[in-house]
Amino acid sequence: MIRYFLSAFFFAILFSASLSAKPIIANSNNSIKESILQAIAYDTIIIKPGVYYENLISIEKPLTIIGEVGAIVDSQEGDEIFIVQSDGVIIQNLTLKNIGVSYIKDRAAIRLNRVRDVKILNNTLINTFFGIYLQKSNNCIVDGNKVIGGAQDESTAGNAIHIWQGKRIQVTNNEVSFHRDGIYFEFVDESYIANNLSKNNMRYGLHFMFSNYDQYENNRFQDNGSGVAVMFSKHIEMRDNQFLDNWGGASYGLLLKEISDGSIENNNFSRNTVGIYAEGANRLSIKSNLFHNNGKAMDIKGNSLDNQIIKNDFVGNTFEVLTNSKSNLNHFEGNYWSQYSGYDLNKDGIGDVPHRPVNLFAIVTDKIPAASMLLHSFLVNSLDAAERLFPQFIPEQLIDQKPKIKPNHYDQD
Amino acid sequence: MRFPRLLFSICFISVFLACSVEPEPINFGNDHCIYCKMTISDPKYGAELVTDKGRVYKFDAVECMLPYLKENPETKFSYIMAVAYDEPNKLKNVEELHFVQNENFKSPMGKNLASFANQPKEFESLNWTQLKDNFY
Repeated sequence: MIRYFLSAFFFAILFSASLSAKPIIANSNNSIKESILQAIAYDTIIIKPGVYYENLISIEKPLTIIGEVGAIVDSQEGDEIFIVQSDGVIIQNLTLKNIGVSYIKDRAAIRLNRVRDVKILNNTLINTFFGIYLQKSNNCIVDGNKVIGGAQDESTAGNAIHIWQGKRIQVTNNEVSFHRDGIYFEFVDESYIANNLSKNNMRYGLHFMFSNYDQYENNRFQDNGSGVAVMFSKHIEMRDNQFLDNWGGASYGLLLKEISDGSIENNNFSRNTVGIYAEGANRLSIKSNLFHNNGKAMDIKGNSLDNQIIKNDFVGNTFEVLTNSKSNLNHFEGNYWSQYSGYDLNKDGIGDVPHRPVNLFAIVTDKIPAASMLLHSFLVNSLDAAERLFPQFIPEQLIDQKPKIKPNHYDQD
Repeated sequence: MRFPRLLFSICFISVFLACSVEPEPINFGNDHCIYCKMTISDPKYGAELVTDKGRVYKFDAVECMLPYLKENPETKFSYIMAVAYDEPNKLKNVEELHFVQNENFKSPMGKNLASFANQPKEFESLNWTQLKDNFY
């Protein structure tokens, strides 16, 4: 009997404790800062609709902060808004606005400083300098946010999602635009980027520096200065992404510089000045990609070694492959080349003569851009035909021995 | 007779300008680093070389200019310049600058190297000769 009584008593205590954990409300009577001071660890703070003119809100205990529809925090061109300095914080459904540009400090709408297990979900960030800035943080999730910068003057833009030193970060379903870089990874390992849309950023849609063992898939990079840059990194997997409309004097769909052991598979490179530019890229698997309507599909420099370029489709590009070396240490096989002029007498789907994707004129225009006005002239076309028969200038070993007659992607459909 | 003289002087000036060896301002957001191929976009960092023949090479960071200088030892440069962190957007001769390597300054190529027009109080700095001899 006493035991029953005791358990009922404990149950009552537990029940009242759970009652006291009802959410704290921030509304026009109190500021978000005050609500955070009142809260104890693991409380939930609900922010009612309205505009809150606040900044430098420091969060030093694990809290869940949820905005109702119409909850807006405006920094009025001032300092950062949320500074997360505790593990286990969730910031959700808020609209954050107007972060001031500063030369001295990289201000962000939301900054995470040396924390783990923090989630930034479904927020809208407008007119930000830096958007979401993760600094020395691990195991965090950035999902479903919309980050629109105020970059009118291009050089005063920060990055939309900036991660500096971190591990196991998940960046998914975000939309980022009008910043310097859409998503920037510097010293970030074992992380995952998927289903993001990155467009109209002035430098890169996505940028890796000194980051290893990361994956990105199903993202769209459109109308950025360049699509994606992967630099000084190892073991990066790039799958099912779209690199579109990166046009300009030196624009690339994908820029590879000093990287190794990664894979580039099933991506779509369309309407870029250069589809893939590779310098010092080694041991990559470049497989089943579609290169469509680019100026140059691939520009692969002589210091790139042991890359496997297999089963890709090169359709309607002005130049298929360009290089700056007479030797070739990469392997091309089973690609479809729309400029292939051979035949398939035994009908096995593989061209009977090998294809040389490097065009003499591509090398000429690379050195003398003005020469491109002679493209498709009779003289140049005959020179090119002669060069392909008896190569003097183009790398002799850069050959696809088994060019496909039909596009690989065509077969899949 | 006035018009041909004006035309002549315009031609003369433009020919003269075309031959001059002058540094060129960095167009942030559009120019590309000759060494690492990145778009130069952070106005607190950046560097430039002008050869004695007037050819201009731009860099997104001093840490890209240093290896370029090492790799091209026979080229003569009339100007070796860098952007000062405390006076963004402008190029200054490297001899006038103080170079600081510290985690507070996140330079584009991850070497945490910034150059200052005025010696910052909190940090020790290197001059150009010390930097060139020791950095790489």
